[in-house]
Amino acid sequence: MICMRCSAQAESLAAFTRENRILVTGASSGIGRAIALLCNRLGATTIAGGRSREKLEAAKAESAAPEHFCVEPRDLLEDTENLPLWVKSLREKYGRLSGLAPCAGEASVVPLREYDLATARRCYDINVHVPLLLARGFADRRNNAGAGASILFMASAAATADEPGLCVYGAAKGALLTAMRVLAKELGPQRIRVNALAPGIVRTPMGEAFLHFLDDEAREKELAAYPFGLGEPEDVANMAAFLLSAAAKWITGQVVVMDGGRY
Amino acid sequence: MDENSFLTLLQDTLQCEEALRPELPLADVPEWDSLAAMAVLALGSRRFGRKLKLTQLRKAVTVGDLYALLGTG
Repeated sequence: MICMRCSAQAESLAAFTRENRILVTGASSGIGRAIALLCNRLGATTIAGGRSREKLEAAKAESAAPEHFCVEPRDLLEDTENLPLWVKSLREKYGRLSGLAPCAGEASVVPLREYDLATARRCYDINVHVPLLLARGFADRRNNAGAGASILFMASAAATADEPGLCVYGAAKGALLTAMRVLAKELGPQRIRVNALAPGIVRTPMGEAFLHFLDDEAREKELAAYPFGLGEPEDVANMAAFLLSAAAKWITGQVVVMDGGRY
Repeated sequence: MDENSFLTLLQDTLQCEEALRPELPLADVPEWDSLAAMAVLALGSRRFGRKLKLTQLRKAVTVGDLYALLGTG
């Protein structure tokens, strides 16, 4: 027997309207792309940021509603300090934003003996400073839709996995998680929710790059440690759409680990 | 920094929709809260090299008082 109340709730789960403008960066591939496409399919206007116009256009061509899939190419590591102004310009172009999912990231596997400042700074730039500067622009009262707006950071299981070789990447994602919890409190009075996802290895170009760091034996061992297999970008996108939507209106300051049982 | 530039900077820091006027009481600025005060302290240090204390800021009654504390000299 179908419970009418549950059924109605299920139908409204992660639903958007075109007035819900969601900025997704890193939308040209992997998890960012999957989130941009899913939010668009669920009714949102997606503003897709990424380095490659060509790849963003390809995603747009695949989208359920291309007229509501806006392509905004940008290299986030160029003129990074002015990212809040970029968000402002997007608001001026499209209207107030209701969601932000900064998904651009870069994994680096570096044991301590190879730790160098240039690598570490780049890793912190793309994984910490970029999402926080985007959040700064988004959280400006003049740029977001107010109550109900939502930020979703993309952390990583590496933040808490404490695996050898992840002292740079894992620590950067750990920093992002701490910032997420702080921002949930800072932005709570504005009724802006802030959450994070912490995926394990997902079948994306970045996930593949990570596996390539491992030798054959380590790779086999790693793959065997995932009882449900590696993640698909859509697995992460489902949870992302939920957390960005009004269905998650009571959830803030939380991190959801998605690792198929790895840890 | 001249007064008009300061007011624009402060408007951005407080994320106000409306332009600020020097005679405007801070109590009438809805965005003026403890977090905004924290942001103004950080602004004072970063942009003006002035390490103010929260107690000094609390004495400010109007927007113009903030200019006197931060933007002049």
